[in-house]
Amino acid sequence: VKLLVVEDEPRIAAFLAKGLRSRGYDVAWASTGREALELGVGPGLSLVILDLRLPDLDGLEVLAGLRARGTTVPVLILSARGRVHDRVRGLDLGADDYLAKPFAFEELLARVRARVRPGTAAPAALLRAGGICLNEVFPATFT
Amino acid sequence: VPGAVSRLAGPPRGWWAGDRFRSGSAAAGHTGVLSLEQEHRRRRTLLGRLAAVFYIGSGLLGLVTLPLPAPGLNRVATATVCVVALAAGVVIWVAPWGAWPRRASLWVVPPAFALIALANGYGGSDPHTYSVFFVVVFVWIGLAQPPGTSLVMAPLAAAAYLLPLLSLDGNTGPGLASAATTIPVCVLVGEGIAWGMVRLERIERALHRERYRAEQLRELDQMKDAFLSAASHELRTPITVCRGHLDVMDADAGAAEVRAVTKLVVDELDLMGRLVDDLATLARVDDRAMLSMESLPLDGFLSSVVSTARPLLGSRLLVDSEQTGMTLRADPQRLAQALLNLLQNAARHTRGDGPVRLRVHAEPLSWRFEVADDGGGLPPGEEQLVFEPFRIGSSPTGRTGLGLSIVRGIARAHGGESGVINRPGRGATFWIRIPL
Repeated sequence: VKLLVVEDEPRIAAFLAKGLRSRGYDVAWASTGREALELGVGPGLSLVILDLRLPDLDGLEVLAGLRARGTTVPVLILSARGRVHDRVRGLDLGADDYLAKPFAFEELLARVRARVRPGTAAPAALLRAGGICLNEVFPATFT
Repeated sequence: VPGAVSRLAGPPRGWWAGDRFRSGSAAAGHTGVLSLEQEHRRRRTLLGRLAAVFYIGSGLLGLVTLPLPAPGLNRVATATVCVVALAAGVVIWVAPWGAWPRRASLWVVPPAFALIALANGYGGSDPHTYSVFFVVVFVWIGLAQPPGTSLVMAPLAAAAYLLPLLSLDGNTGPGLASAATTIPVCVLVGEGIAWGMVRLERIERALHRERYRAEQLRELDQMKDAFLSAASHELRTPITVCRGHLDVMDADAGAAEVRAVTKLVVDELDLMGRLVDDLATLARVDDRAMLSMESLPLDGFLSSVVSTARPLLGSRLLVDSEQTGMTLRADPQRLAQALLNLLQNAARHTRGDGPVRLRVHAEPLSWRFEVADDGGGLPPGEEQLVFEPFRIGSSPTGRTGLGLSIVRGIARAHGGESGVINRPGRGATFWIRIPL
């Protein structure tokens, strides 16, 4: 599963890449808004993790730019601007999720999982084989 | 922000506001509220137009009533007076009263009196009608001119009232009686209105001042919000970095990884410590009262700065000061901090092992300290912006983004200033000027 991390701060990008790669994701990194607009429309991308404070463009401009280029890839905003009005604005402008910094990495992973599922009706965490269904997240639950 | 409220009570200022309210241009470039000067110009134009309406209206009235039967009316002379009044009214209408000083419009008054007197002299036998014209003139004087003008104009009005009586046949008694009541009433009305106008203008000026201050405070508040948001972002980043790296460290991480993450966390905590220190410094840096000014021997002061900076710069630091045995008045700790900030800044930007030059020289009224590097210089246009807080983000390699703001604050607290001579691509020379 391919993810794009848009983050200008290398210290943050470093652990994001490290943590996500160790969970088996394929991570690309863009440090500027322009780079993000180039990489964000590439094929096979499952999710964009977007910081709002970028050196060249505002993150919300990047979001609008991606949507204007016709891509429907889910976008998760990861920003230090965490007030209600920032979140509402980000979501209204077409983001699929919003997580404020600082954040727990577990929560980011859970949100990433939620977004890269092929469809909310059949979550990826449920493994089906014939009549048996195994829930990866809660292994004790059989349905 | 400590002290924010007490700061707001004084003239608008704040270390987060940078240069916004320090230059006079802030007031001149102020938009949104019509300036008092613009409003006064408008009012002068309006009052000029009012005078024109009086001239034109009187002329028209005279011409329209000309065919009415009136004993003793010299119709040709009255028609001439009315036409002159009409023409004068047109000239007064188009005259640029807004561009002229307020006193200039006083020139419309004597011709008005003269025309009223002429019309009266050639006109009918009832001088009572003319008192209305005088009252109107004095109302205008009250509106347009400063207090005292009506009093000064009273003799002129009396002459204009009484002289035509001499040319009229018959009994001048009613005319005299009418003048004796009309002129004092006119003066009272004119002075009363002028007095009221003065008070109104005073209130208007105060209101403008308050509105302008409120506008400034609103802007200041916005800048404070922007500053706080930048500061909280800078403080949040190290927390995010620490927490992230600790979160993604595996439970079975090797000793090397643990060491690396530990070092990273310690670096980030150091950065937060420096950020908090710099924020605290910046919050009180441009407060003169916080300075402890001393007479310092320049040589001793410089050598202490150099010995502090040596570990950072080593042999790259070149000092150039020909002054010996001179003293300067400054807060030694603060001034040393400003110079160290500049030296650190230069050390970061100079190329490789390039030199950093610290130079001191005496100017007629001040000491000038210069720190020059031969790095890449600043992008053109950034010369003032680099002194704004968080213009450049903080990084664990040392900077907090507040160093130059602190330098500027310290220079200003000493009554001096700071700046940069930029040579794009070839380096930059930052300077502080401290008055003698």
